Amino acid sequence: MAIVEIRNLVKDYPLGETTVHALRGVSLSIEAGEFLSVIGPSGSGKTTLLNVIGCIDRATSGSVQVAGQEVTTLNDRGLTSLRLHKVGFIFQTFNLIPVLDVVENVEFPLLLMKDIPRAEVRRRALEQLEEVGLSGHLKHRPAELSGGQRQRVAIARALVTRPAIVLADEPTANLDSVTGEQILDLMRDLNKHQGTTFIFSTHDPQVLSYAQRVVHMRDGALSEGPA
Amino acid sequence: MKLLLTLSMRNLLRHRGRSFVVGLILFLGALVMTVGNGVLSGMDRGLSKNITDGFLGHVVVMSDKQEDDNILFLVMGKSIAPLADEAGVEAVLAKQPGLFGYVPVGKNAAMVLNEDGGNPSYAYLLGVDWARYRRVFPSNLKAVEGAKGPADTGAYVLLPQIARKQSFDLAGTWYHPKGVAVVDSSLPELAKTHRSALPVRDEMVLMGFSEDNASTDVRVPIVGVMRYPALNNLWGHFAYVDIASFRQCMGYVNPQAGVKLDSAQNALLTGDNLDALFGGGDVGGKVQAAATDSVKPALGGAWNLVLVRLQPGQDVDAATKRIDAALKAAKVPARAVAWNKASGPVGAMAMLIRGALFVFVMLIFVVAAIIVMNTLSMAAMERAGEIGMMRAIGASRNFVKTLFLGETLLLSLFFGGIGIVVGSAAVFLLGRAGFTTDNDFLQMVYGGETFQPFLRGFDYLLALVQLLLTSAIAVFYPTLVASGITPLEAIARD
Repeated sequence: MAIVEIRNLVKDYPLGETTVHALRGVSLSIEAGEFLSVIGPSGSGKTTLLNVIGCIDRATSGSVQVAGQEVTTLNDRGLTSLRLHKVGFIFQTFNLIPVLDVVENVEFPLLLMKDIPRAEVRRRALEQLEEVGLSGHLKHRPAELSGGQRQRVAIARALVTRPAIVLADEPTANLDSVTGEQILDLMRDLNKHQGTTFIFSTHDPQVLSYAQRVVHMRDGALSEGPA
Repeated sequence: MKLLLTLSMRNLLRHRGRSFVVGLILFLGALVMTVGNGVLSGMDRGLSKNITDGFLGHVVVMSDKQEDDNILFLVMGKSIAPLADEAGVEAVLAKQPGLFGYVPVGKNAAMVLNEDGGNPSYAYLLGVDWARYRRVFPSNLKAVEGAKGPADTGAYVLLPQIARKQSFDLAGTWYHPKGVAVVDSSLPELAKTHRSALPVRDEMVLMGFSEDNASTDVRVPIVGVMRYPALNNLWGHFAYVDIASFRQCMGYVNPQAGVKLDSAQNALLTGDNLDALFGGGDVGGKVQAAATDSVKPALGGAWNLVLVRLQPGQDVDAATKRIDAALKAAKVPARAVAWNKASGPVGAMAMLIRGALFVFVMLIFVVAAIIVMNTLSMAAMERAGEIGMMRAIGASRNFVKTLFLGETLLLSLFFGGIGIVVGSAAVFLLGRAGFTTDNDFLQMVYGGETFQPFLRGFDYLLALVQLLLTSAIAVFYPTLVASGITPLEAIARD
């Protein structure tokens, strides 16, 4: 069953008097539980593709379905709800909330859901932090953690809501190679154990060895093939 | 809620510098607003005490024939219409709730004739039944020389210091109470230099300014010289005289109703022999004596106004409307006017000063709101990455708005609260300092001669509302800016 279904996706950006064609009729189907990598050079459109799938950006035309929901017709409230309940994000620069400690950062999206009891929120956050190996750093603030630890927190935050898909934009770009590998190992393990769909963009060939499936992007168009 | 509170608190502590700047503005705004409210309340209380409780009462009942509501400072010579049915007015007032008391007065201006041959001067007169007047206004005068008031119901004038000085400046005569030696230390410098030739009098000869030229001269002894404890520069022009002398000098004598003529006098007046009419030497004297007798202070006599004092806490406008409606319902030819209208330029000036102070306080309010708004807008832009990231992981626009509102509310309550507390202390200390002034304008601002700002419970509530309103206005635009930040902006900043 396809968890993401994209048909003829076009995304144009007006830039002064010209238009940048970021995505030129992309079609892609992603099955639940896949570990998919989107690769391509800078400016190829891979981040734009992830943003549209993650309901962060809107398509100019075409169809995008996430977990059975057509996102191109949703209003801001609907997109926000979909991001909260169905999508997890892992950013290149971690993007943790600096004033919250590790466990509070992971609890944050659960608390936004409002309908989960406080004890359950704490239990799930602790469980997820244990999964990423950060049980010993619960009360640390992001500034007190290494890059790899911060990214682990980000992964825990992305997964704690049990999303349909996790989007990771260049998740190892700000990490050294050893830490990057550890993060990729972790993501692959979680993919296997929890069955969560991972879609990550990269231009790092080392990352590709972890991918179950690779799609290539160039000039806003997609082609599928080996790493 | 706990999440929002935690985020707000920690964000404020994280951005200490900016929080302090915004907090300082809110602190100063709250401080100025609290002090401003204290000054306004002090002015209100002072004016209420010194105008209404000290001189005019809260409501003035006047004749419906009286053209102008302003009966305090009229153009010289313009009379106040007498009340046609003063007894009817009192009958209506007797049934009114919430009154501290009421007293009829005669009020007009009179010329003070100069018996030493120089220029005349003038005085504003209040004709009163002294005992009754003191029951309604028991402590609005301080004796300076002589008696605190007349000992009996005979003729008298109780002269204010300022009116005495004015008479000296205009006529060159120095007045002092009968039976009391001239107090040299009270003399103006000019009088001291000519002390030996200084005309000194212990009686005044008053001739009422009357539009129908019916006034007569009356000689009244001065029983005391006094001053008003507050707003002396304003009220100090008004001298008190007994109502009989007042009526006589104003010509408020009704020969048909009040003068009793014997048969010989009637025959004389109805006869054709005009020589006989002007030939006798005692007719005028007898009429004069009878007229004086006929205008004893009594209900139903001639009065110009009834001054009404309300009990504390009564709404002046509501009471005025109530009394006015009762007068009309009883078909009494009179109307009730609130003190601020009846006091003419005094009330208008008080309202003007109050309005100016209020505008000043509001100006502070607006300036504080604009500065805080600018600072918070910049903060919103600086935090676009953080806000966009929250939006990306599922925070709604409302969550972002509430976060900004929460941060501003915390700052307002903390720094603004300190501002209100410090402002309250400042108001207390200013009140204790006892600054005094002789300046007429400042006396209006002070509400009297002493600066007595104070805060009522309502003022604290007002300061809090003003503070929260400032914060709400200040945070409105930054909140729009913050909630308009998209998740894409957070990604773009990566």
